Amino acid sequence: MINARNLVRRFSLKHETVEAVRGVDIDVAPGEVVAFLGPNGAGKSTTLRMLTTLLPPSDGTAIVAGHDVRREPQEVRKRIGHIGQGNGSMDGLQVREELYTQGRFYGLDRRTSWARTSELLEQLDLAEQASRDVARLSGGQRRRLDVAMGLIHRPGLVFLDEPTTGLDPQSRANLLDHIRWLREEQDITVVLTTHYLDEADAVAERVIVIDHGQIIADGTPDQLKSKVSGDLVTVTLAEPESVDAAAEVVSRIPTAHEIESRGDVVRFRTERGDAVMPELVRALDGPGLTLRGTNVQRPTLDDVFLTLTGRSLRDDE
Amino acid sequence: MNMVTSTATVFTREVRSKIRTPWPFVESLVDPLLLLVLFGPLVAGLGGVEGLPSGDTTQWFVPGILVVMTFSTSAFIGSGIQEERQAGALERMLVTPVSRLAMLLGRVLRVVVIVAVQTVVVMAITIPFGLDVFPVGFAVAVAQLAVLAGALGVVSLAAGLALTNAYAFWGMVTIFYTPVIVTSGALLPMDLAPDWLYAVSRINPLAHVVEAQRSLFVGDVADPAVALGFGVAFAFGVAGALIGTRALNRVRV
Repeated sequence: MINARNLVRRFSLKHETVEAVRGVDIDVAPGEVVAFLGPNGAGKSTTLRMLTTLLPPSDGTAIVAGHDVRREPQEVRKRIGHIGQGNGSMDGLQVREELYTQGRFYGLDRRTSWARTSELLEQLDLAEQASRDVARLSGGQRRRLDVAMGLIHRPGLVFLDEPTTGLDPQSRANLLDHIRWLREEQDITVVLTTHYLDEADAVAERVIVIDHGQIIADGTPDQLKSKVSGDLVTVTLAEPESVDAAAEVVSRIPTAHEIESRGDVVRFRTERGDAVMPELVRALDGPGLTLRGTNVQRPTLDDVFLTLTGRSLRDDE
Repeated sequence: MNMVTSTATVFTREVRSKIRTPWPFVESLVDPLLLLVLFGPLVAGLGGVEGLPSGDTTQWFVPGILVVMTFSTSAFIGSGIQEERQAGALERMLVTPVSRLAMLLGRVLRVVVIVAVQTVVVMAITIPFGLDVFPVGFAVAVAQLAVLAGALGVVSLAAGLALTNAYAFWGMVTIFYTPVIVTSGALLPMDLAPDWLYAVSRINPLAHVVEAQRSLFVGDVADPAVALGFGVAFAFGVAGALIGTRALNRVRV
């Protein structure tokens, strides 16, 4: 679906040239759901814009949906859906009217465009708002209209740029359900950008981490997390004074490292935290240490980002 | 999708999105009528000043007012495309396969239609106040104002795309508005102007259209000024379309 080689995008700002994207290679196979994850200003949106023909690359090539973005932008546009960060619909138009018109822009005949409009209004829960002015929709509804507009011509590949930014938690969850639906029921390849870790984790089968205009990691969320050295195990003791004894027991587990004790809690990292746990509980039982609780936490994508860059993604929020 | 269908679709979308608010239409129709009522008598009172007809000035004044109306209806539509860019609707359009030229022409066509309708309305309203009717001349006058509306509209869109923010756009409008209106000769004859001001009026496309309109309003369709008015408006429009299409291909949304 996508084959990009050495994509570069430079911007001239006053007297200096800024390289927003510095030599990115991306391959996306049909049927994948890929998230570009990175902090604001990392170059994810710029990369996306080059793939959707909105921005010509300064260097490199990209074949999207079978066509070169530079040589045949029209062919690429016919085959992809793009849902941008803003409101794609025009104030003053009714929901139904706008959706139908968008279909006409892709060359659908009148009847097909009306049929597709009705179908999408149902699928994106906008049927009740069909004759409302788009300016009077809620944030979540307007976003769903944008998604509907991006799907009107049945593209095989859809791009979403920061799709949930500015939505309330409920609308956000709803939109993420629709993104999953694209993949599962509509068989559409999806590429999205996000700076929310949980979002990438929740919908993407593959995450491409972008920082300072370069790809710094690429894999399934699980593969990326395995780059972090193990799960985080937390043991909470009934009596704070037994913390040191508990830490001593923990240190005898061969795979345990980064052991930390504070208050009534002992924390450490280990591979396969879930498998280590039964053995640990027995070992703590021996000297008669009483547990109040245990917790095994798989690494998060934030841990991944921290490991890769030394910075937390949450820093800029 | 061919050029005609895409232009028609963009045009329909434009019209539909604005048809439910009649204010722009009211505003641009009221303005020429107010000029006619308030400024018309002053012009009439000037009597036989150089460049003015010695008798009734209606036939001289109405065409000028129509050019001013055409200007105020079509020259500001570039701010609309700036709002679309700000909101994200322009980005949405740019990822569709619709031809960039069709995006401009569809938008411009809306003001072309509005100007044609308004011109007929103003003509009809002024007949009872002494406007003599020259059917052929009037028909050609409507067509010419439509061409001018298209030209001004497309130049305005090009400016809206080239200038990155609303302040810059309205700043440009403020800089150009007074010189364009004054040197067009629409309100007072340029025959009164000193040489340097007259020279300035020669590079104002509106001045040529005003002169052409005045010939058309006395039924003188064969006057070379008419052909010149068409030529200037048309050339201005083609230049605007070229610059505008280029701007739309390069615009960063």
